[in-house]
Amino acid sequence: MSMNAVEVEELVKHYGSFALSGLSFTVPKGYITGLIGPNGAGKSTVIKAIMGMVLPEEGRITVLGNAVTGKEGSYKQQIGYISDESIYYEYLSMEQMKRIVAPFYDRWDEALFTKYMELFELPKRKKIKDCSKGMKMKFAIAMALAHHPKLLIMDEPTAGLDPVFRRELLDLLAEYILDENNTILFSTHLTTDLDRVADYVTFLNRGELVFSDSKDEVLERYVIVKGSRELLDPDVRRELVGVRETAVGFEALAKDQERAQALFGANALFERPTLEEIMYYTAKGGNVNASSHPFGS
Amino acid sequence: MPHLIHLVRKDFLLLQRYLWLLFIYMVVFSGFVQSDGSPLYGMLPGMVLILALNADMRLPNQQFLVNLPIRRSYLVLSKYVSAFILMLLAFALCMLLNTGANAVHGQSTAVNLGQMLGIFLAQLVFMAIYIPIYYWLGLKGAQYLNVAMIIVVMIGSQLSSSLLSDADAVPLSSSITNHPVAAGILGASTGILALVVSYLVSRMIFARRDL
Repeated sequence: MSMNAVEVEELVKHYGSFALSGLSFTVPKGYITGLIGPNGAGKSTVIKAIMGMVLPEEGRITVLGNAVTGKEGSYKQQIGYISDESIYYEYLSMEQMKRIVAPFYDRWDEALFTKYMELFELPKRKKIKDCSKGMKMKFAIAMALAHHPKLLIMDEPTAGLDPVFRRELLDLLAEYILDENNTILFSTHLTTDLDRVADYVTFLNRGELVFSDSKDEVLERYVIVKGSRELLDPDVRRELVGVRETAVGFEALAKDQERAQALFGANALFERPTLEEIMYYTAKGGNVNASSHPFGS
Repeated sequence: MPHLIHLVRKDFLLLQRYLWLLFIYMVVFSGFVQSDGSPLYGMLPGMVLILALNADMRLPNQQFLVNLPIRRSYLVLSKYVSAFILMLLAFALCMLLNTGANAVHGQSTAVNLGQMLGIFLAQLVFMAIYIPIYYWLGLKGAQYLNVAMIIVVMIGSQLSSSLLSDADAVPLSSSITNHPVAAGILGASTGILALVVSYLVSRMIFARRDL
């Protein structure tokens, strides 16, 4: 029995100038994995490939031990999928939509569905088109969880949601993952959400894998370096993932903390990066000139 | 099989919002209002087919369907089953309406089964052509296809009307009526063959589609 809920091997897909080129990563069973990357990195394409919506040109995807072929659909009995936009029939009420979906799932739990609808204060008879983005997302979550999925796949679920519900959602995920048989794959570009809940992080940039590792190891391995500009020469720059220079100094991301400390010694300050900083410097690469801090104060 | 039933049920549920439109068509084009109600035989089943398919036309809805725990081929098959049942119901309703109108106007209520079979067969062939084109053109192309198909339905309605009233069609109609078993088998075989080929083509197209 595999220890991974999802295995992606050598995935290749082209869309015009965009390409996923030989992407491989795993989603460990029983944990929350964050799929991060800037817009256009390929996160949604990967998730759609896992859900059988996008057909890979090459490569192999296995979900809970089932090979994803694009033809078979029964493996989705064990998946709760939450899209970044509403995929339901907008002109139906939430109750009507539920009546369409429920019969397809062997383990549909009407009581659980009702519990979530009440928890989220969703009126069953309200038409989906009349719901706010937050209500639609809550409804999608209720639908996804009501059939007891082993794997919850969410594509940008927190984008556009207010901070209160974002926090509630993260609490809900934490509750769901208490069952060690459950797994979450969570795509987002809002990395602060993952700072709170993720166990593993897979980072995509321009269709390529930057890393796929435990969050703590990533945050231990990478380091933010701050110092004066005199410390930067071409050899030093090559050691850095990304550099941001200001009139008074520089701030950079290095992917090997020990190597960075050996390189700069006591001449620089070292700080633990956030996932957002790792994503920012990796996506920008090279030199980033700025007169103010990109993340605010 | 149960999944197929759920998908067909879904199509019926989605079509409910168009019932008022279909009702208006039924009344306006029936023999109760028109002197000749025969165009309804082409128009109503054609409208039902177009509406049933287009209920799922939006990309998010296609994504929803593909995310259900069923094979893609079932999604295609269910469209054929739904369309067939709905067209059959629509056709039966047309017969009922026009027969009722004839009775009200004091005309003969006899139904020429040969002609009816011929018209329904033509509609099945229309469906067998329409659905693969719908899948092939995809979401944006289907909008243009619908405009073209509504025109075809209108012209087809006139043609069916002409067919029913044309004196030249009487011998053909009589021969069908005189050999009902042979005509039935030939018609059913043609219809089934057209639908099977059409389904296989649609399934092949949809199996390769990214959503």
